[in-house]
Amino acid sequence: MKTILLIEDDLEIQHSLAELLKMENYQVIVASNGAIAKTLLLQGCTPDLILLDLLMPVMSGEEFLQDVEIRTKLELIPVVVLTAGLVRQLPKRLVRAIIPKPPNISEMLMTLGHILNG
Amino acid sequence: MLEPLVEAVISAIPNAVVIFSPNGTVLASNSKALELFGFDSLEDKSVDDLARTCTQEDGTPISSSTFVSPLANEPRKFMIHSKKTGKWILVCASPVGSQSVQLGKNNVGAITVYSEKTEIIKNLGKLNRELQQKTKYQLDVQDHLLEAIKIRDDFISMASHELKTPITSMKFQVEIVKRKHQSGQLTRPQLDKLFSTWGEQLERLNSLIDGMLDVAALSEGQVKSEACEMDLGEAIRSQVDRFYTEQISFIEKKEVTGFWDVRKIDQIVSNLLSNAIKYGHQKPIEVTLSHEGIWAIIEVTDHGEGIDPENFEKIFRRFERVQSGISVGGIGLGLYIVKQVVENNGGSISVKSKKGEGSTFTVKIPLHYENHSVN
Repeated sequence: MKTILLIEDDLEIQHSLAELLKMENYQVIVASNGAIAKTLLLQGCTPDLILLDLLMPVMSGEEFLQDVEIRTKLELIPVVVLTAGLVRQLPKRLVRAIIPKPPNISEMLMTLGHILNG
Repeated sequence: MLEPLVEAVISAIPNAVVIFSPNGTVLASNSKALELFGFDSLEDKSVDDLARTCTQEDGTPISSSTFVSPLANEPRKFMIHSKKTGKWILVCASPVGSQSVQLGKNNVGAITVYSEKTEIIKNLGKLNRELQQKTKYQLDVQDHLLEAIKIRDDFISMASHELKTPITSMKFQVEIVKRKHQSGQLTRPQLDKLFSTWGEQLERLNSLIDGMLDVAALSEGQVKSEACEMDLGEAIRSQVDRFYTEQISFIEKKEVTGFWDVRKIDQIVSNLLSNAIKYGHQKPIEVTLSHEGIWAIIEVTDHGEGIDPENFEKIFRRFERVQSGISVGGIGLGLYIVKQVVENNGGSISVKSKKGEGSTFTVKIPLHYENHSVN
């Protein structure tokens, strides 16, 4: 079973997306901002994919992608950005896909499946 | 003695004229020259005496050779400023050159003709100042417009983000319910919970849109007040009740009646309360009402997040949300709307706060405000 680390501050989105991903037979770990996710990663959490919101308090998605300690972990973990805002400059090497909010759900699941199994 | 013809000619010329010898002695001048340079007589004077009383256009000293240059062949024109008379003078200096021209017994070095340009220079200066003022105004307008465009762009991105967030969670929830319904797994309590969540999300969307419309109306100056006599305590209580929470307590220290537009009071109170709830860390919120002389005073106190004093001014600006450690929705319009509405009704708003201990917002509005038609 593949594991997805979902980093999202809006609790409604976090809960519903986690439930939906579980229905798709993924194991889901949630973090409400980049800083919490960083702690998880540094404690040895090794998800197969990170689903990352951008606009978050404490540590935003952009800051998460720029953090040196996190970047060493990200060499092995694909990142998919999920955002309702305009996407500015993101490090292309790390970000495998950008999914808009609200997403087309079947396309979103297909993209995740493709990255996780491809 | 000058030859009578020469004297008659230089007196008849409407310009000032000075004739110099090659070494700069004044050989002849007319009364206009005396007037222009402020001399009683130029007899026995030299070009040095004249040059000392003048500066170049940029204020720097002028050399005698500018007037009488033994090497010059061509007539030259330049502007000078007389320090004695304050006049601006256009000089046309014509060297006689190698030709031998005599005036009486003396050789002539240069014939200089002067015309006064003080008016023109003054007008030019005035025009220049006007132009500078206009340019500055244009630049200010440009800055203002660029700022307005930036605010609008920030608003659009902020607003679309905030509107898309509840839509996103609703979309996920719809997908989940659809799947559960199709597989016959949907239970009654799940459905009840979803309906209440969707209700809240729709409410959130609606209040975001209301906020945007309020701001648009404030900017366009379309908000008309319809004041009538009302009980302020009653209006506040109805807003407090709308939030359905035990968290808020309302203390009516004095009964306050006055003339207001009830929608304006609702806007003020509901925005202050939703702010207090957002940043209040679920701790008690107190609303008090009192009056002092002609003023009604509404205070909303929370015991949450608090605000840094350096941000006191910033929080009332449009689309500002002071960065904080907690995740809150909204586009930073609430306090801006409150401030505009309060001020448009002759009142004022202030804040007292300590970081980590909470904030008190105090609204003072007159019991009766004449200028109701302003936006």
